[in-house]
Amino acid sequence: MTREERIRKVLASGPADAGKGFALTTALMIALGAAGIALGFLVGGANAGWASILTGLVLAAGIGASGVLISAIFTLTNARFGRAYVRIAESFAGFMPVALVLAIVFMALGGTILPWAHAAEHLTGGKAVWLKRGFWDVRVGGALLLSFGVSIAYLYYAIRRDWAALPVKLRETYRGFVRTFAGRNLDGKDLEIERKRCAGRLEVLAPIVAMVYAITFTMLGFDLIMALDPLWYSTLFGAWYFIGNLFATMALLAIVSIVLHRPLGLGVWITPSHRSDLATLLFAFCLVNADFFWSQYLTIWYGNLPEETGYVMKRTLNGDLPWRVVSWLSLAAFLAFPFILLLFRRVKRSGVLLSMVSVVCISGIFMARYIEIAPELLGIAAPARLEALYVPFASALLTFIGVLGVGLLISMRVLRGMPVMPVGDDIFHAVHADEGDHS
Amino acid sequence: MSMTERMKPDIGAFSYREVDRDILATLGRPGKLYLALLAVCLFCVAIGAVSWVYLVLKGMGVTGLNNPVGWGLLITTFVFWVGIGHAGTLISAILYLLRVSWRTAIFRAAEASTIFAVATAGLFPLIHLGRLWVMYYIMPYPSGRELWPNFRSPLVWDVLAISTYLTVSAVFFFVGLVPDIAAVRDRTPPGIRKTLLKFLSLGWMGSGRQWKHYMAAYVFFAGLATPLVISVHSVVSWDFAMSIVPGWHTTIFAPYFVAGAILSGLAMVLTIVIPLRKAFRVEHIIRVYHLESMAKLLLFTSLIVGYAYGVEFFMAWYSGNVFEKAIFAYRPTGEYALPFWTMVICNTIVPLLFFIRKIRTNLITLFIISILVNIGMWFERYNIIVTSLSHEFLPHSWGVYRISLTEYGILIGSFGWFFLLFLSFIKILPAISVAEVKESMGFPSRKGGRT
Amino acid sequence: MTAPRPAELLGVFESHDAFLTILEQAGSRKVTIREIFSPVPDHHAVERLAGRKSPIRYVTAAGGIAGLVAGIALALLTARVWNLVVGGKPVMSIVPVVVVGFELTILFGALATLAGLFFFGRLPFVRFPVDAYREEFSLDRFGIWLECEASQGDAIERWLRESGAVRVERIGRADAAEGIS
Repeated sequence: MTREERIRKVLASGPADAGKGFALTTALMIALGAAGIALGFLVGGANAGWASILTGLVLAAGIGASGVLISAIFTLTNARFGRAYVRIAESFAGFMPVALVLAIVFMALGGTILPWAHAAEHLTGGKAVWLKRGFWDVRVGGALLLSFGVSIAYLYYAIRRDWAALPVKLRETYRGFVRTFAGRNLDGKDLEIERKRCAGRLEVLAPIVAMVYAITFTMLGFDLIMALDPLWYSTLFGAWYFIGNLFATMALLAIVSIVLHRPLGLGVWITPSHRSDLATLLFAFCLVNADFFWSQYLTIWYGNLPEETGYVMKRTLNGDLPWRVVSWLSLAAFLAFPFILLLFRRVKRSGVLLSMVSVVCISGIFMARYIEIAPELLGIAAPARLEALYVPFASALLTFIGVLGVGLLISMRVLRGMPVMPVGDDIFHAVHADEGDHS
Repeated sequence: MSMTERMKPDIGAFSYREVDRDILATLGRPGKLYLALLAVCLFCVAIGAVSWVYLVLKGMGVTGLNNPVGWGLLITTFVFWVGIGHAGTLISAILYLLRVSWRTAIFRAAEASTIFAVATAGLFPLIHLGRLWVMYYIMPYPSGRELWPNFRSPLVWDVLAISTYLTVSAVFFFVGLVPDIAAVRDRTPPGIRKTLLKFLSLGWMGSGRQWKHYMAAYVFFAGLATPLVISVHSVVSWDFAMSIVPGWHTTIFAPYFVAGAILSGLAMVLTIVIPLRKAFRVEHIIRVYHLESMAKLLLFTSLIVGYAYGVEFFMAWYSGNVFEKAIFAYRPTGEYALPFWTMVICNTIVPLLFFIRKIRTNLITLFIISILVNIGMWFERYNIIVTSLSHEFLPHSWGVYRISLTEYGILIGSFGWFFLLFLSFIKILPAISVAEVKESMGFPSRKGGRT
Repeated sequence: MTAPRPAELLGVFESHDAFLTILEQAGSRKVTIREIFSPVPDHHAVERLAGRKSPIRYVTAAGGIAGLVAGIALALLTARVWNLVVGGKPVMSIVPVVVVGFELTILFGALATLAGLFFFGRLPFVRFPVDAYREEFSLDRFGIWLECEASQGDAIERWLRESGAVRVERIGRADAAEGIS
């Protein structure tokens, strides 16, 4: 198959349409999200509601930036496997507006629940300077905008590189803001030169995306999550946050590519062996995530310093609320379960089994973020009964489902505006030519 | 060169026969340069040996170690050599599992440097013991008084981690060598050497049965060695992080040390491979593309190390912890400021030059930067270990550590030892994997090309 | 009267596609492949030879599990015996045991894999070299050692040459044939 034939084949099914089933499912998810928020605020109290919003925020921001990061990583490493997944990963930029809206809402209305905001007299050292409302808002907003801005620049060139590879007529079939955004002023230009120019820009932007992500998300991890306990700190916390994001996004990528396999016309390009490669990558990130968790836990346990252990004890011993249930569940979900199951070739190649494992992975990361945030916001409730956790946890879970619903809805909208495979990418063509295109 | 051409470092129009000839030619009679280098190494080893004997005879007082700095150059060098070993396993095992093509020509030399680096590192706990004849105390054997090593101690985890690493790397290394030993055996005329090689090659014939189990075992070795890359240096970092010393007790140590290890390991592989390929005239097999790929990986790990420095300093300020702030103010400005700034410049600033394509494809700049990085990484371990011990909690117990001549002698000896082992290896067994280079070239097809 | 001994032929190939073609067509020509030789790892050829996947993975898993158990046992049981409270931490605790267990899992897993490679791959192969082995097989030639009915010997030899073998030899002595299996 020549390059042109392959391009036509990608475009044969037209703009990606996730289908009615998807629309209904996301509508349901959004409804559940709204219910969750209501449940949190009306039944659980303001703190429970804001804990849900904040959990949703940190996860949405993470997924939005990590999607583009995954594509940037493939570009940086000249990776051959995973090229078929690049577009779907990039489309997760649709989570960015969700994160921004949640951030604005939280900063405008929810800021009063931040524990450090009204404990200024207890803050010593740099914290007294760092944790001040105005400065904090500018930092958090700035970090989100910077990371998202660089990601969007990357997306621009990635999509534009595809437009430059398409014959004019086929370009016409794609409408909407994505095409307007990335496909401007292409007429009358030498397309091959434009394509190469975009590819060159991507090579420059990919490391920038990665570095900006590392720095901004480290800071967001510190500011949004770690600072909730202003007396506690862990140098690895920022990295632990951003690796968790990457892991969750990769799991989401697996789920979306498997569930929407037929509607998006992926069958030709994604085979069980590609799925197996993605599963291997998921396994690797499961291990890295677990390693970062363990590095923190072991150091804190071993040093046994009261200023460090309090944080862990609150979440693992029977304290105010039985948080340890969530802690153990989270560990099982992001480490034990995927580690054991992803050892088996059958699981890695099977769409159904892999998507089930991926759901468990995402829920593990959700619970990890929740267990970091909620105990700081939900205060003391005696006696320590499991029932007291039901409402806040359910609220946060439903809110997260709602966030996923909105994010995926926008993501699939974004995906509709570009070819579902990176047709402008030389490596994509090389990989599929080598593998013998599945005609 | 287009993206796709760069991706497939096919060695072009060479045949299996030519590759075989070129690689096995490296095992020929050593030239003057080789013998000169060997002499220098032997001299360095002699210095090390004399220093060690002097240390054993006179006691640990001949080192600069005292209160408060009980760990100095010896432990610094120990961590340094363990770290150097990591690049070999990364290139050999992890890049194999990720199917990265540029690993093929260099992984054998990298693996060899791993084994020899870990073997060199393994000497240091013995040296540091002073009474090295009681080193068996650390081994878990049932004694009459029911004395056991304390398995809750990171030092004992270290014993396990490093012995495991040495064993697994050696096994992986040897298994990978077997087909190449067979190639050397078959090209050797009958005699004692050939008989020895017959034993060493385990009767390898490249038969279907042998290859089938070999390929399966190789994947498992790679899969088992991969977590070791992360875990071994994490365990070494926990020697420090498990304490409560300011500057040591911090959660970021494990990934920070692993990134640093890979950084120094890659730098050492570059330092070795750049002159090696010229001296052995295998520039068509180990190409600039391979060196450039290593340089990019080096840049990546250098950025991680720089990130870790930044986060540590930020957290010292943010936390307001008196002791953390004190140590992080002491490091850049105290008695050890020179090691500190050497570390920062060599590890985080110099490698930034690799963002420029011209610099990462020029052999001279690659070589110089790789040496600077290794200097920087040695100073990083020195900086972490010695400054933190010098400047702990109580001002009354602060003290300055000065390296003694004996310790310098042992440091020089360790470098001599490492390079001696490496030089010996490259003349006995092929430093480039014959079978895998052939495999990466594609099979010869009837039409005369390659499939 | 006993049946005539089967003819043993060794086909030496320079090109890989000719080598693979013979492997593919061997069944239809009623020849048995006794062994193949290759200077490089060859997934295609090994697949075409059929036979089960290498069982080494079970050995590795067994070794790994044994290592995990050994590591946990070593750390916990020695702590129980030498039960000083160190650093305020509990004598019997899972946290430090994880590291010990992990390292021994890897160690025993690797050693088990090595043992499995030796056992299943019949290494070290003490009867080296077999009749059919040629030194060029570690250089740049592929070899197929096959067996066919004595009467077919010439026809098979012709087939091998026509398919692209650079050389065909007759193997086997009057007495019992040396083998690999």
